[in-house]
Amino acid sequence: MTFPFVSGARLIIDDIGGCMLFIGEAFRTAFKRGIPVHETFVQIWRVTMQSLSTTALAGFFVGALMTVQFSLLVRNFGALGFLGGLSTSATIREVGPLLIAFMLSGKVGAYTSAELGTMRVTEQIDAIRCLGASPFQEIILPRIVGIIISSFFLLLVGLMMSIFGGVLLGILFAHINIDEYLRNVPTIVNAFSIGTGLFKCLVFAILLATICTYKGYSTTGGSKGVGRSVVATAVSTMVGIVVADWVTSVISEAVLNLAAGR
Amino acid sequence: MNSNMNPKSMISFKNIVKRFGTRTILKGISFDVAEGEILFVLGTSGTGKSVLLKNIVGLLRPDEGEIWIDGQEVSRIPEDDYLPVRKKCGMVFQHPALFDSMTIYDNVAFGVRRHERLDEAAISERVTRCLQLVNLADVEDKMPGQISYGMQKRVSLARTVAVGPKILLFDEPTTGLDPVTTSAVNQLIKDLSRTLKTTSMVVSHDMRCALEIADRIMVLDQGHIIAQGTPEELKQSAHPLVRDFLDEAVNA
Amino acid sequence: MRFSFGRDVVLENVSFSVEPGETVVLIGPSGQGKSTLLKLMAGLLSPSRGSVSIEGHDLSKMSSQERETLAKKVGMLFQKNALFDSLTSVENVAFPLREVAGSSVDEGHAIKVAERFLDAVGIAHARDLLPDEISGGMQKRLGIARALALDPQIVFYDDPTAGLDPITSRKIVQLIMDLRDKRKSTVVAVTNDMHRAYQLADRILMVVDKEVIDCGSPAETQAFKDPRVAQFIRGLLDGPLTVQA
Repeated sequence: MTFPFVSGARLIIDDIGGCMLFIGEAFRTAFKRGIPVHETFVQIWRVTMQSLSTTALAGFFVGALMTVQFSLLVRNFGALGFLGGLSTSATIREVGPLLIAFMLSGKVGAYTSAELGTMRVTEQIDAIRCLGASPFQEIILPRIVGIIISSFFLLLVGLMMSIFGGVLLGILFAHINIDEYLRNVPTIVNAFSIGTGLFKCLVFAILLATICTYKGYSTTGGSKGVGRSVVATAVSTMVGIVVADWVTSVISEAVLNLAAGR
Repeated sequence: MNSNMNPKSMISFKNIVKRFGTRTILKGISFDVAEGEILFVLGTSGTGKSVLLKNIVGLLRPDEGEIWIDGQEVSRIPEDDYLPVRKKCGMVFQHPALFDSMTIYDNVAFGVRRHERLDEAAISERVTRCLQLVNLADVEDKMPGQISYGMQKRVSLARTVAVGPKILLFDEPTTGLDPVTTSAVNQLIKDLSRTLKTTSMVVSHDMRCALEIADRIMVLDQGHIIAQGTPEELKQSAHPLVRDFLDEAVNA
Repeated sequence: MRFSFGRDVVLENVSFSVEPGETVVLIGPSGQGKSTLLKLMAGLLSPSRGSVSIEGHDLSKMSSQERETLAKKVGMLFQKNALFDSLTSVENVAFPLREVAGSSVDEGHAIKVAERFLDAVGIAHARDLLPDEISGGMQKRLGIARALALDPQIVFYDDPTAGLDPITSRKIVQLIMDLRDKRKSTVVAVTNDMHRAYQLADRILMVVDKEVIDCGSPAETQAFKDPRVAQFIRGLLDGPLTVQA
């Protein structure tokens, strides 16, 4: 084929296929041999501690940003009362999960793929196999599960911080008092928007965990290969997250329509 | 046990062929390693010596031929069935390949914890004994990055023998070491093999130490075995590459 | 040309000199400062006290311009080759040529010179291959070609045969000697391999216990009285050197 995008598309399909096989193997190992609990907790602790402060900070500014932007808009309509509701809803449903997931993919994703890549090129993964153990059980599963759990938790922390940031900027920037800010939150933010936000968090966490472990584990070619894996992880996770964001938005819309009986 | 197996043979290759893409690395290799024997595999870089070792532990699988380990044909068994085979084969990598997020203690205990239900006291006793075997003490709580390269190599050896393998495989154990350290590592290989009564295969460049400690030597070139025999037999070889290696050893 | 050192943490009160056209090989147990010494000599590290002089000029007192002039006279082969992964063989060798020529670079000329060096080290056929597409021995040759591209008068080799089999090692050292003889350059090399040291050296220096022992020619080294030297070159287990491994 002479079209460059055809070979490009084939590479992407190969990659997705490889990733599917990788997940399959991870599931098979999980059912057959179980997930090492202690090591999983170690990973949860490590990932959480590594990213807690930055996630909280990022979350705070996401909320603050939304409030500032919305306040400029709603003021013109004399609808300052809706500021809190709009800002919180947008943060929880869309912008919060997306931006925080981006940040985590840079931090947790890059770290994990570099770590696994280094283990691969320094033969540590071969050493695990030679000691009669399964690398999937020893290092992959604890990381996948650990990253999913802690990313989900971190995203939650980030969202809470974003709400706090929204409130604070509402008071400082838009000069509305806290009661007024919060009054309309329940009318716009319902169980459904919270559900959507959480669902997105979960999907992003799963994507992030799978891609970075897969890319790190399949590293080849020395220290240069580790660099390549880290870059590939960053790119594929970001693309994956944007696509998943769109898909989950469509799904949640459909669910909403269904619930409303339309 | 298969009828055409030599009952005393621990490792047996029958017409092994291994290809990478279009390149054939091993071109029909057959040999046996008897129980308790130390076999040295010599050859220039890139002739497939490491590939040979990786085929034994199943990190690579042959394209053709049979591999028998301790009476079992392993070349085509599924990955999960290979785990117990690997437990029999202790592989010592060229670079120490220690798990750098774990202490020395946990590194050595890694395999033991996964294969045997032992309480911590028994594990601790095993770890200390294995570290003693490689002449190390008081390093248990250090991280791999805090000890010298030579010591890392020893820990890697201790980690391998800790699970009690019947076979020890060494991938260029002395490459890049200074003469004194080289002697020390060679001495260690010999002592360990004799003390633990293991069958050992050593991939190496060093003809001098091969002549010193090997029971048998095999020379590989371009994917073929060009010579094999006891050190005495090999010294009589007329093959030019073998002579080159011998000249290097004698000129020391 | 003269190198001298004062006090350093790894090395203490080390003083010695290398004559023009001489080949000196540094040996010694791992982790005792051979590579550090080489980097000090090449000006990649600065001594904590004392001075290193090349051709009578103190490295630490040089202006940046003088240093640049000197850099062209000094070639270095790094232990891990330090090849540029993303450049082909010929581009790797052409790199220093372009750097030195700066804006006045003559593209065709740089490539032509690079090709000549690839040919000299015997890997002309690998011209358009990337470093990770060629064998370890060929990478060494490529590293040597790049180190020599600027026609340096002084060449430093940090463990030029590390990880290579003895047959290939001997060829690499032969190559280093041929190129040295052709250019009458001064060579300082570090090695762990006594075969290579004897093959290459005019004079052998052993770095041990923070000092440098001048062992003289290979023949003198083999008969040298100091027990540390005697133990090291024979690889004996009994002796004053503690086994590090």
